[in-house]
Amino acid sequence: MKLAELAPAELKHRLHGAGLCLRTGPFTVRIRSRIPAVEEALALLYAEHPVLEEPVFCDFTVRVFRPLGLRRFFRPQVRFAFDDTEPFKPLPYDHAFPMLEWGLNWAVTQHAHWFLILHAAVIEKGGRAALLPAPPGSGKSTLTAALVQRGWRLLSDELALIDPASGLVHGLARPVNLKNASVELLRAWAPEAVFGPPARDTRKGLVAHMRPPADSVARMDEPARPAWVIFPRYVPASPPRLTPHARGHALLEFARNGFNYSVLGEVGYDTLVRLIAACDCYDFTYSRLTDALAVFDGLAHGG
Amino acid sequence: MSGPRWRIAPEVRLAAWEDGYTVFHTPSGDTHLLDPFAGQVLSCLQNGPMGLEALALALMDRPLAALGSDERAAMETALAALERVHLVLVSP
Repeated sequence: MKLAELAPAELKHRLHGAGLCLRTGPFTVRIRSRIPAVEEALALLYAEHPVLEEPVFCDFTVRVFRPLGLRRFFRPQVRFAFDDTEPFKPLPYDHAFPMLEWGLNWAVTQHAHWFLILHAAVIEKGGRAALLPAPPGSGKSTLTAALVQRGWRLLSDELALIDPASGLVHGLARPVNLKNASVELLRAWAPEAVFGPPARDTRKGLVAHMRPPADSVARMDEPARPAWVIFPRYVPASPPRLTPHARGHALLEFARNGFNYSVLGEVGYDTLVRLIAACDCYDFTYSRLTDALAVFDGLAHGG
Repeated sequence: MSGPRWRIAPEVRLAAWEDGYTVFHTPSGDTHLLDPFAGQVLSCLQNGPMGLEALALALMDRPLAALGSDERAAMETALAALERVHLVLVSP
């Protein structure tokens, strides 16, 4: 059953009680929360994700909740718990859903060491995946959101999960986290896209999440073969420019930014070598999404 | 043959790319990107311990005495750099 098929009263009942059990790619997660904004955002942004019925084992159990005491009334806050631990400091109450999303990212990166987890967006077309590693502010999520609204499949906007045994990249198909001006840009680019309510004044500025395309969620169990590593960079007024990126440097950049590379040791290195050897690596500068789409589609069509 | 000999450290993994070599050193967990020449030095040492004479033949296809001072300096600099990050070990 999809979350969209769950009656609102049942969604509330589960979130308030034993938890809503969702599957996102290879992970099952149990979410508990009494915060209405979390309930609404889950219903909207995870509408296409499968809901699991009890009894079920979940990989992660998380809770987003309002602390007791004066903080209920004075500058209310929200807290995130993974099992019984709270890895983060509280955030303002209206950042509850972004906190859940950041917390789920944290849970995956801290625990799923059967994957090599790289900091990169992943999209796929024709069975071949493009990994987009980039620092914040490079336009990685904007580009990802734009491309998945025009025929590319979303695997992740943040976490590339590489299976060391097969070399394939696995997807999560979770909401895409957009920031600041990118939100309006994407609304104009894809009027049919569904966005959650914006959270203002987060540490990343204004944040809003875009619902993953239904097809990406439907195919989230389908891994893809890495074919390209593309370092995107948004440069105002720049023409689109795709230039080769040396592969030794690409490997080193992934190693520096891998979430669990140091945990995996030689398995992580061997997996990275295999990944880079299988990929063409590029730098990509762009300013217009239409140009970016043409360049990416050209790659997918063998141009 | 006299003089020091260098050997590759245990548990080093090496991969060649167009811009050099990446190396993973398992005991430290460090990953390095070596320039092509230093990478070739390390790659040669995968065949076994070598002194400068043998390295000159393997890398430059000439005996040590036939190398220019800059070529010899390049070999010594690369070996010193590899030794500093524990990728090669030297025995006197």
